[in-house]
Amino acid sequence: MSFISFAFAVFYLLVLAVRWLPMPRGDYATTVRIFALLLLSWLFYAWHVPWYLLLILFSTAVDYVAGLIMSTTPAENARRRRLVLCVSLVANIGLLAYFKYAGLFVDTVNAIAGSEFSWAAVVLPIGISFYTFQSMSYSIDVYRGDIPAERNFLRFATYIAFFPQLVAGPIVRASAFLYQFRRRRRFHWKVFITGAYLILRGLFLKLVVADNLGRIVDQQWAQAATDPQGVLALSVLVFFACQLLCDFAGYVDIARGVAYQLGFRLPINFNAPYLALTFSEFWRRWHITLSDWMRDYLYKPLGGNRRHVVRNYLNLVLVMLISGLWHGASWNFVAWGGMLGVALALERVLRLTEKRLSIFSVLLWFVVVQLTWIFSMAMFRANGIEQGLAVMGSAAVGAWQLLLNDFELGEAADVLQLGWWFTLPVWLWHGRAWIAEHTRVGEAGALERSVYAGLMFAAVLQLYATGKQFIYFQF
Amino acid sequence: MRTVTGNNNFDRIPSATVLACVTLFLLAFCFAVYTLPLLKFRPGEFPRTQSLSLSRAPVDGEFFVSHGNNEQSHLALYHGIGPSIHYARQADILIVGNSRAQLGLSESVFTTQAQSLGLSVFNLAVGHVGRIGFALDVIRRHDLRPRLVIVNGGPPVYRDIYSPWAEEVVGMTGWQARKAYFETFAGWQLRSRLGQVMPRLEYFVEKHYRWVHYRSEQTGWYRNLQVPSQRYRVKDQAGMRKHPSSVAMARELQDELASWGGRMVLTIVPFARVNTGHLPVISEALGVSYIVPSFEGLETADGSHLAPASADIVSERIWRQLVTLPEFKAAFPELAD
Repeated sequence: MSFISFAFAVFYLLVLAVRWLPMPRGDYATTVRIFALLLLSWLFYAWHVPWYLLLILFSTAVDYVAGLIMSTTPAENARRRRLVLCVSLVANIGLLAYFKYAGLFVDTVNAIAGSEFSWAAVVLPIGISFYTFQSMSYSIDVYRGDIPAERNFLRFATYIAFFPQLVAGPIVRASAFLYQFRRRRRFHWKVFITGAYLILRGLFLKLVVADNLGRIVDQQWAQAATDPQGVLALSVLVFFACQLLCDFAGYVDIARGVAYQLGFRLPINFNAPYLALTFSEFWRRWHITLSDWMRDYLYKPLGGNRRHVVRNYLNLVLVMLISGLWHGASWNFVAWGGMLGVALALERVLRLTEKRLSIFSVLLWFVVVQLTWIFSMAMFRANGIEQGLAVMGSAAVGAWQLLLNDFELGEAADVLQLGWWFTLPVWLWHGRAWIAEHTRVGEAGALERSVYAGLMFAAVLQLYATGKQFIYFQF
Repeated sequence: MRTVTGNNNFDRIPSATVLACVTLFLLAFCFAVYTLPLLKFRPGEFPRTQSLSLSRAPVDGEFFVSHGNNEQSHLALYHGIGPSIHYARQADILIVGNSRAQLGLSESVFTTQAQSLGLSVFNLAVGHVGRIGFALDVIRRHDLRPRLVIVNGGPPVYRDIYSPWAEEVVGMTGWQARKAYFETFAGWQLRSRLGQVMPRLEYFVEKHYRWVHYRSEQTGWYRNLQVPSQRYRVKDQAGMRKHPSSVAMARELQDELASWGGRMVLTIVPFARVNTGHLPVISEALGVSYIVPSFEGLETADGSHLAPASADIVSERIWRQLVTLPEFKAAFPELAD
């Protein structure tokens, strides 16, 4: 089920009713509420393809049992604990491999070996990349002894299936979520209104900014690869960078707002990423929960930065390659990850951290970081590496033309003008975030948010675009 | 997770801050509602305000919305949602084609004329570049057994590929189709009402799309609630010049009909730059009759679809020719006397 659907509106009213209807105090009522939340979360998931509910049940059951076995296995019996962890990881990665990557694997083998193996494409279960990662993080944390195993199946299953973040994140750690079931809750208007504000902001980012930019990107993409006037390609890449941010950040805002209204707290996932001065800072601002996951469960176990420097650089590239593959079962995503991994490693080689640079160097590197990201969007959006390279090449020409101030936009000029207007909220968001980070003004208070809410509400009602699914649903 | 039933702050008196927040919210909202339509984010006649009909669904029967992006026809017909297919199954005559067969063939003329002969007619044509293959799928899937099929349209109607929207619908499961149907229905209910008090600002569509129509479940015809006001004269661009066309799908439909003794005739409802050259080619290849009505005095409402008055005229012309065709007589031998 998509947040941007009328089915969700009906569903959500039901959820709110179940959550906040008065019930007598006590553990029994608490259990009933959690059970209802679990059933509703499964309904939310089954709305897409009903039988895929079995996948999430399988993943939940495997990790629940794995957690219990690991917690009851003495620390000395490391072999058994490791074996159980392996079963959990294989089960989760196996689901991903079958549903997401088997097609890519077969196509690649066919391309290399000239064979003609066939693979019946299956509908990708929405959110599979998110809940399998979440599930795996739980097993690994229990294995490491970082958290105790959750013995209450109801709570554990609700943690895995919690509908606001089920299909497109944020990826929530068990340590940051399971304890919330035990918290005493009261209805607070302030919290509820904060949730409503987040939902409204998410709707604005998605329906007004991302979807309208998406229409322009869809219209102009094919031309962007071939147009000798590369400014068009460059603009389209900027629009897509903003579309992607607002699409995903919009989803996460709605997820966080919904969770808030139900009495749960989800981590933030985006923190004005286009203010990042370095690549490493960028990944601390963009898709934060995935970056943290990759760092804690992949980069550090590979040796992190404790090994030889060369190994450190290779680890960075490898992690980013896997991150690219996580985003999509296609070689252009791998190329996207590889490109950003090399950039990250290069930054480490040059020892360019924000604290060591002069102001001029900071600004220069900031431009490099943001331009690299914008150019990488060509690979992210493209249908194949070839098209990605073509758009990148065209955009590079555009950047050069822009420097020389020697370009004509032709027929696309007015559409591009429109696109730049729709990016305005992104720049305002980042501008306000910069002020909050670098001055004493601080975060927006209630009065300021009220003004934003009024403006965004009017924009949602008048400027909404329809019919576009969340981009991250496909991951 | 404990819940407290009393002792909450529901009934707390709003503080000055809360009042200030509400006031600021309303002021900002009103400011934006007033200002946004004045801003020109794109040169030209933008923003356009999306005009939606004030009218509700017609009340003389069962209807669903078939307006622009709210087109539900494919979902209803292919997946059998609602009673449309029930009525299509009962029809003696089916009309196949695209939106021109919907807006250019008059419901009142065809149903009245058919009823006078004791026949029933159902319009299976669909918008969004309707094609013959989709209709054939509907006929097979729901075991429709019309005695006569009228195929209306230019060369694209005969192409052996689906339109993009039809392809998407055909790929849906019944569950997905019902969800999409519900979303379209609910979306239309909300947007058409919201549009009355706060029109949507449109920056992408170059022309106003002023058609608003519902589709009758009983007859399959569009019922126009709003018609564009422009008028363009119909001109035949190529006359009867031979025109290469695909006949594979038409032949498949013909074979399907023949399996129970059904017949097929071809026609074309004119539009601003109509080309009729494909009809003799297909007609000759299949050995079926075709009707090209006189285009004299006809006008379209938007360049592509006949205005209602012209639809009535051309429908009379087509019907008069239709009843004289051998296919019609063979399909309904009981009417020979």
